[in-house]
Amino acid sequence: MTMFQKPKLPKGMRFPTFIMEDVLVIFIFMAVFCGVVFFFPQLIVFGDAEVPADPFNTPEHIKPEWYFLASYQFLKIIPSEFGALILMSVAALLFVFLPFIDRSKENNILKRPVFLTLVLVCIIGFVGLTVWGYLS
Amino acid sequence: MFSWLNDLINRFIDWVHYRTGIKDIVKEQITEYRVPPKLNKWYSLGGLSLFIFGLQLVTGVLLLVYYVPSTDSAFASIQRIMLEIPYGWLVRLSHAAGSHMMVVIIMLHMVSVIFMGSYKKPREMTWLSGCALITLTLAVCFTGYLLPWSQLSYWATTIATSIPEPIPVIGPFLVKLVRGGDQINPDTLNRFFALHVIVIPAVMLALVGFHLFLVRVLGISGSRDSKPEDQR
Repeated sequence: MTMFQKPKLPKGMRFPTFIMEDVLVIFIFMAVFCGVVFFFPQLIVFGDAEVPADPFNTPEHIKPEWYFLASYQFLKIIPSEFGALILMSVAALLFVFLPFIDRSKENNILKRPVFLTLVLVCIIGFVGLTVWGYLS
Repeated sequence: MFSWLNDLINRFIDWVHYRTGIKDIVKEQITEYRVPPKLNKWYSLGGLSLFIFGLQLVTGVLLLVYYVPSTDSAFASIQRIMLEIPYGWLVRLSHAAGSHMMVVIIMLHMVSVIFMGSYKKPREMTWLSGCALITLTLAVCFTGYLLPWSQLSYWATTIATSIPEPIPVIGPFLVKLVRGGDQINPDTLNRFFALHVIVIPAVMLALVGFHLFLVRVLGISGSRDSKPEDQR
């Protein structure tokens, strides 16, 4: 089997242009980033993060970071913790092996309603669990 | 007037070129490299995550200068960085904000890859290395979380490290392995510190290199404008 042939691109963006495209996005990011760091530092470090650790005093309402909230909430709502762990591992494995499971040649997701629905359900599920975990 | 300097630079470049072929690499990878026109902004998220990773490395090394990895002085050293060290607050807040931003940007990068179908053949290895990278990013966030030794770090880590407990037989052993004891203790801080500052970042650097190598070897994945015969 021969190697994948990179498509030849005689026309296209030249050297500084394709770098500048990324630089533009980096500058937009830095504007948001500096805005948060300079004007809203209380969004980053607040509450229990400003109190030294005390192993003999458990604070109320302790929660993990927002990116772990979805899996944390999932563990809470499934009655069997071990079952929830297995379900999460299976979901993670399916996700990792996505290119080997989804072998369809169609790249345009709008022409694949079933796959699009699945992706949207996953995203809404993740966001929903995060919000639920945050509010509960 | 400065032609001698020009000469010197050219002679130096020729010297390097003779030994590495640098001129051909620059030509192939930079000056004669072409990217499909009309790419959307989602394509820049990979480069942006690389930029944030660099930012985290720089601020992380600066924090390492004044941070003390011991349960007695960790919190005090963070207070000192925030209040006494010039611009310490900026470095510390940037490092903390950068960790959140990195997770956000990497997640968006991943969602865009799914929506554009960029993970498909022949880019499976790029996807797999990306999955490893997002796992390591979450791991580096998790280990870094304990280091300030605040109430939040202590108790959030206690809860998170108790997650493997319900696994039969090996569960309690796993918890003990991660914590280095039955409870979070000074050893936990030290092993998390080692993981956070050297082990995970080193593996991530190698994987980022592999990820970028594959992106260059295979070319940028087809945007919706590219024709199917471009992708055999």
